[in-house]
Amino acid sequence: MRNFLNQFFTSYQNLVFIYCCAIYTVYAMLTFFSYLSIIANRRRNRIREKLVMIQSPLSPGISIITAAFNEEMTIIHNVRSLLNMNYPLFEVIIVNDGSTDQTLGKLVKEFQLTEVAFAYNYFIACTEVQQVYKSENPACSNLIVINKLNGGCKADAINAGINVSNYPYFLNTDVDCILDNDTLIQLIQPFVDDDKRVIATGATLRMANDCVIDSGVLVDAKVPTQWLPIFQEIEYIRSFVLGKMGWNLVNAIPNVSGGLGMFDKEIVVKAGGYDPTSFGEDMDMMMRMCKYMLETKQEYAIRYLPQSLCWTEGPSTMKVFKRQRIRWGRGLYQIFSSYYKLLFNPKYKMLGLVVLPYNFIFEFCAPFVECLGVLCYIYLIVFHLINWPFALVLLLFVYSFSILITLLAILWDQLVIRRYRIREVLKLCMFAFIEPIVYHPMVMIFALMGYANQFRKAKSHWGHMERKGFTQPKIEAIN
Amino acid sequence: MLYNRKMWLPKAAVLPVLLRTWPPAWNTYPVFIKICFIISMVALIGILLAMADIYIWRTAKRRKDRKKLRLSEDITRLLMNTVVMEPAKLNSGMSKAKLDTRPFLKLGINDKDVRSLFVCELINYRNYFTGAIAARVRQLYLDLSLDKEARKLLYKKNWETKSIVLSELFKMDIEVDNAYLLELTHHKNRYIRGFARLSMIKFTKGDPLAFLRQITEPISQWEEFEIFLVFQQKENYTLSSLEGLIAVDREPSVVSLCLKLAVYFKDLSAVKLIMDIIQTPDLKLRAEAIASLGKLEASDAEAFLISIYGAEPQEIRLVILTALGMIRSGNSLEFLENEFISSDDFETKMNASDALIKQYPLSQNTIDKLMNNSAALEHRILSHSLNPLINAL
Repeated sequence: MRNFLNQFFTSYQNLVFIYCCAIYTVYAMLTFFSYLSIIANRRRNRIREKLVMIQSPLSPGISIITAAFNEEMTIIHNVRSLLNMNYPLFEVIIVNDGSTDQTLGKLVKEFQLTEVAFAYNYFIACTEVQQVYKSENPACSNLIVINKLNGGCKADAINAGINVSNYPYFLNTDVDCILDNDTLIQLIQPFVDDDKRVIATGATLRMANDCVIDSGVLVDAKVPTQWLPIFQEIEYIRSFVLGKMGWNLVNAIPNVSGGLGMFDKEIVVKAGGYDPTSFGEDMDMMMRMCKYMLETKQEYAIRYLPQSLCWTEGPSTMKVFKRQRIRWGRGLYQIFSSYYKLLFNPKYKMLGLVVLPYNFIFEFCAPFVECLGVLCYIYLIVFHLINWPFALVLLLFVYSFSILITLLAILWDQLVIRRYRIREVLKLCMFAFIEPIVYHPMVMIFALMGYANQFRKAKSHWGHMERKGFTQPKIEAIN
Repeated sequence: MLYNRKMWLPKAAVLPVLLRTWPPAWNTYPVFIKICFIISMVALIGILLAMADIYIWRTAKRRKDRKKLRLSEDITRLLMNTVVMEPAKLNSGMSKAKLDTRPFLKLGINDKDVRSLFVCELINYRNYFTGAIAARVRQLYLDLSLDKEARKLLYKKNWETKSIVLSELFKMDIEVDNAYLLELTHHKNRYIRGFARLSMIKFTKGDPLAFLRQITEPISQWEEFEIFLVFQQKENYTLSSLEGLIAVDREPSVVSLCLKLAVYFKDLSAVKLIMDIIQTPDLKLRAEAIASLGKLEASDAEAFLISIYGAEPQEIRLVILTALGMIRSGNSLEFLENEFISSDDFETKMNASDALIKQYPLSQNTIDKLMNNSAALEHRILSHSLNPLINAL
């Protein structure tokens, strides 16, 4: 038995080393690609004037669809902020997903809503829509509020919103997200300015936890002060600025975030809409959209922008964070159990040969590889089989490379936008040093718990994110 | 999940061992350890450089931003005083009088960055002001000889410089050498090609549509928006014949643009041409052509649209119903009523209902009859179409 274990762990060490080299090669490549993408984006922004979109009578209409569940604290400010978007033709669709608080009542009162005899058609399946409201105030004529039975998830509510939307593109966002005023102009641009048919676009999301927000508008962007949101901020920067922008260059973006994404409605409807049973509904939707495009032999592109256009409140307590990550873990497991036939399938081109294999090997398998790696180390230490100098060199290799990748992501982010003060950027850099030791193991463990729950088909509820609310700007007394 | 981590080691115990064995043992170490060590050293240097870069770059940028802000304020103040706030000159038709350029020269516009910021501000003023003020901004640009420098930069090899300068001259209403511009319209870079096309359309002495005939490759929607804006902003422009442009053998994106122009300029002479391209196998273009007939309120095409309705796929049928509603002649009421009653499809009913409501008051009797005789879904669809709040967008 001992011999077997010795042999197994020795072989495993080699496997992990190869795995590690492969993943770092991909990250190095992504770092380079993301730099090229960011530069290309900067150049394009210098040439393309957003005024064209505002002035043109041909600009396509956009529906902003967002689900609200027990959001009475912030709903009014957030809807006002959505209604003030800088774009010539858009509508705002708020889907009240069976809220048990005063969310609907407040909306009705504030925006002078009245129930209308809406001929609702369930083009995409969703739970029963009870009422549709429109505003009697002409200034809010582009606001539609849908009241429906609770569907238990955001996907169901978004489907309900798609069914009433009037425009060819829709923006899917969370009602508590703070959007930049130019979000629509920025996100629609790839749809109208790309050689291929763009089916979805997204942009960078940031933590809003300690930002100063006034009436749904971001006044001052700040790095979170609590340690859990700071780590998430670092993770988001790395994932969006480096990961997604890197994949953007080769048109291999795996997913458009559920927090902020603009979609081609026609393709979403043809692909069957969002799946309410999926825990990773955003990635599932993208998979089905890509699958549809490939099966109908249409060329397509998914584009990402490096600009931070959306600020969202990240979990600040371990309980909520754990629940979120377990759900993400379950979502990833579901994706691979649903789309395993696409994996390494040349028929699905980039999706089958790059996007899914990468996500399977380096995202889905990573928690297994890492946890087994830790066990292997413990075993080698306990039985005095470890070569300490070699182990230290390998540790240094893994650690230093990880830090370098994170710091480059922060640097690239600074090339795009300089919202944070320099002190705060340096704070982010400092946290990058402890993130691999403190935060990353937690993420891995929660992912494994998610896989286990999904494997056991454990019952789960989506849970409501407990919001702490945003910091309001200080109003100085006028003497 | 950017990391793969497999170990935590007790550093205190390990360091002495490492120091004892290192570096004499270096040659005995396996290649992979040597590679890892070298990469680690490179990564550590990279970490230091990245942090230094963030700090130094940010500090330099902050200084630059402050300088830029001050400069921007100076430019705004000067422009306000010299160009905007001189009503006497503006009103007395002196908008073409030579402006006092001395204060602007003091800004240091010979510097590349200052020039770029200054031109950017001028373009903003031209975007937000029209008439005499916009003309004076252009005059200032010329008086400062900024056009001469731009013309020189136009021949640079760098595509970015070339396209920015082309855009600058275009926005300042400055004509470029026609032969060179024509050459640029076939440039491999899409941005240069795009701006060259815009300039050709804007400054061409003859018919700007003639230039559209030369386009054989697809134009993006963004370019379409820009070209459309140029036509829209052309003073006293009347659209010439679209014959040969709205044709089946023409590039679909060019046809699409011409359809929009025909609608914008209410060119009823294009109706016949549009009807001819409805046979195109390109469903998207066919739908667009039918929608254009509706927007042009082409009552001549009404019978034709009804005649092709039965043979068309569902998505085209829906567009035909909408177009009939927009034509508003009252001649298609019976057809629309039949479609509303006989169809089982929700969207067909909805579009037929909307088309009937759009023909109000001609359709009043039909609507009343349908309201009285319909129940459940049909009644709800009619109520939906009749509701002004729902249709107010």
